[in-house]
Amino acid sequence: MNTSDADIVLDVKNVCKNFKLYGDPVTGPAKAALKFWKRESYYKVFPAVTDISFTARRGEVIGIVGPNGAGKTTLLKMIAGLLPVDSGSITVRGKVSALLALGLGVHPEFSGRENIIYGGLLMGMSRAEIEKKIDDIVEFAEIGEFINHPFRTYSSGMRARLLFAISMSIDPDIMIIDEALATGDSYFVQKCQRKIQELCDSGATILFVSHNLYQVEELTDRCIYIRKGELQFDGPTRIAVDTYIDDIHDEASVTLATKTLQSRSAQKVNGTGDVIVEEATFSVDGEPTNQLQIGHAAKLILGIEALRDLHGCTVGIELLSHKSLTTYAFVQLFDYGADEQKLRAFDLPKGRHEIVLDFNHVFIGDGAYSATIELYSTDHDYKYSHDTTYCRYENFLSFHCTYRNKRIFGRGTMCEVPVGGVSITAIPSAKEGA
Amino acid sequence: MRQVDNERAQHHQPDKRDGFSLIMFTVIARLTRSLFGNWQFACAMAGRDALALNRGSLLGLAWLAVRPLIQVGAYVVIVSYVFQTRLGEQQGRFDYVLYVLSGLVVWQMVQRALEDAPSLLRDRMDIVKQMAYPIETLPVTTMLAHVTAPAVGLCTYMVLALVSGKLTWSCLLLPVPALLLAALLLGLSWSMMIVGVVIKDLREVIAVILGLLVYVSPVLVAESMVSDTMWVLLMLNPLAHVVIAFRDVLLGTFHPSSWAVFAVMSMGSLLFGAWLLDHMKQTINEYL
Repeated sequence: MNTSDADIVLDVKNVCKNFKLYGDPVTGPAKAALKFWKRESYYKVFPAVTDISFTARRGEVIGIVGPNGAGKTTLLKMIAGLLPVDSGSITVRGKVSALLALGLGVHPEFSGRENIIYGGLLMGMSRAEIEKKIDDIVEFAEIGEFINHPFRTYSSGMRARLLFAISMSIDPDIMIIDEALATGDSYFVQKCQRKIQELCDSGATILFVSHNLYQVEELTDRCIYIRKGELQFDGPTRIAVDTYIDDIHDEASVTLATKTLQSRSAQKVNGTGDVIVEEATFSVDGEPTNQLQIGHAAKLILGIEALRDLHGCTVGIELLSHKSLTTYAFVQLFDYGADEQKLRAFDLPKGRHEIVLDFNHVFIGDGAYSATIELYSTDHDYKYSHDTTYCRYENFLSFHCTYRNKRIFGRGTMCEVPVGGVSITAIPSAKEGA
Repeated sequence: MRQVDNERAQHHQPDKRDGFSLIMFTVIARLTRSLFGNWQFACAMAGRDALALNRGSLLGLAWLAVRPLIQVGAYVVIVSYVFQTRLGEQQGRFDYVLYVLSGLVVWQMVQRALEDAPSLLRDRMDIVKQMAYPIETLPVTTMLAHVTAPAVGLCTYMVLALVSGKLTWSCLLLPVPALLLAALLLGLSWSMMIVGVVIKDLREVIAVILGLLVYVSPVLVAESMVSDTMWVLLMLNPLAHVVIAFRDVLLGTFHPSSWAVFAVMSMGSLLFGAWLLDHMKQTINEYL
């Protein structure tokens, strides 16, 4: 890489940005503008970006990652010249194009062709440039003869395709691509990603913001990680992403999970009411906790009270993951006999009991879970009904499950499957055998 | 083509040590350069606005001409046949029509531009926030999009004046007050679109004031029709001088004091608007 200064197209030096949060969003700014001698009393200062410095060279593709509200968009807007900096400086050499949102200036009554022309003009292209590119845009968007129909008649997929095609038609020196640009059917999303890849290879300097960490890793070599307005890391993408994920697991996922569970924790009790579940806690290494590690042993301790003598009773636990909307797993006590699997049943005399379920290994995906606990009779094939269930406590307890190595991050919900052993046996081919 | 600064640097500290006149000079120079550089862009956007307004209707762009034509026709009929007002004993019926029309043309232009001005930025919030839009061209765009109504009025005036033999050679000087008016409206629009972002009420205030001011202006009233004190009162309306200046050119009269007031107002508003816009161009995005 050429390290001469002439190669630096973007130089961000100690940039800070504070936003003013007005007590009253409607009258606050007006009051502050009119009463300039006591302006400060109307707002609180919120530091959106604090002392960020980095440089970008010609042709570099830089990813920017960070949680929501970290100040990514604010930084990009300052680079694009849409917001003033409070202190520090940003020097830009060349033409900057910011794709912060799709579909700006699109009018529903205009035809696709007209929207391409006006969209291009808004993005800073000249009419001649647009005329040259219009066929490519139409071809890329794959909307065929609809190009001369009003935009409002398009399907949502066609709209997304056309808007993306317009956005991608510019060729600036520095390009800022914000997340969620590639929308539409999966075929088109792939096409968009190829197009972004093409742009990255074209020699333009690109700042690429995305929450899709795979995409960031695929497209960029260098990555900037911003958190709470501060630069946390600037360097190889792999390390930046790892650091980011570590942080996410340390706090973000726990808060997210807790929030998700709270929102679901509307407890509902069903069943005949013959059993009362008083408490349910996980215990790892003798300590009560709600943090489980995948692959480790854990105990679930249930404190219950039976209101009458019960025979042939069993426990079921329904797990709901914060990543999915339907039941994630249903834990039942099975005895694997010679020919069939049978529910393990036990008798509960009237009174208080402690039931301990001992899990040798926890093999569920990472994430946050809420568990629905139920005790029911084994006399019937299990089918949830009011009569056969002694009690059912919905979302009775919640817990988190994480990997020992936190850097494995969620491809959806994943199960870790243990491999007991590997054996490789050669199978003699038909020829040799003959 | 849209003009783009090839080398741009954002710094915290602007040079405030320079003299005021030097700053104003650079500000005006920068804005003028941007306006000329983005001329075609502004025109295209004006075309887009006009098209967006009438797209989907059967007559389409023809409405731009039809509406003001009917409006002006109604004025001519009402003023000349219904009211039968005359400027003086010796004056013909058409004189008052011409008098009203000449005032109305200017007033329409001013009214359209100023009523739109406070919401210029607010209405284009999504675009301005996400793209490097040259906001200094916004008033030009709306003025171009709304220029048809006054233009139709002016043409009607010319035809009527020609028919009645009242057309004067001084009409050739029309570009002079037109330029002054452009400066006045540009400056006022720049200021009001910035202020309108923070103080939303400005739009209503302007609409109410303009609605009232038309009666306290020489658009419908001539000097011979009112008392002296009333006329002095009318002269307190700053827009009265704009109307009088245009009328001077169209009717071949001359009121030096009105021209002076007009010129000073235009330059003042242009300078103030340019200064405000230059200062607030980026900051205003925080309020949107």
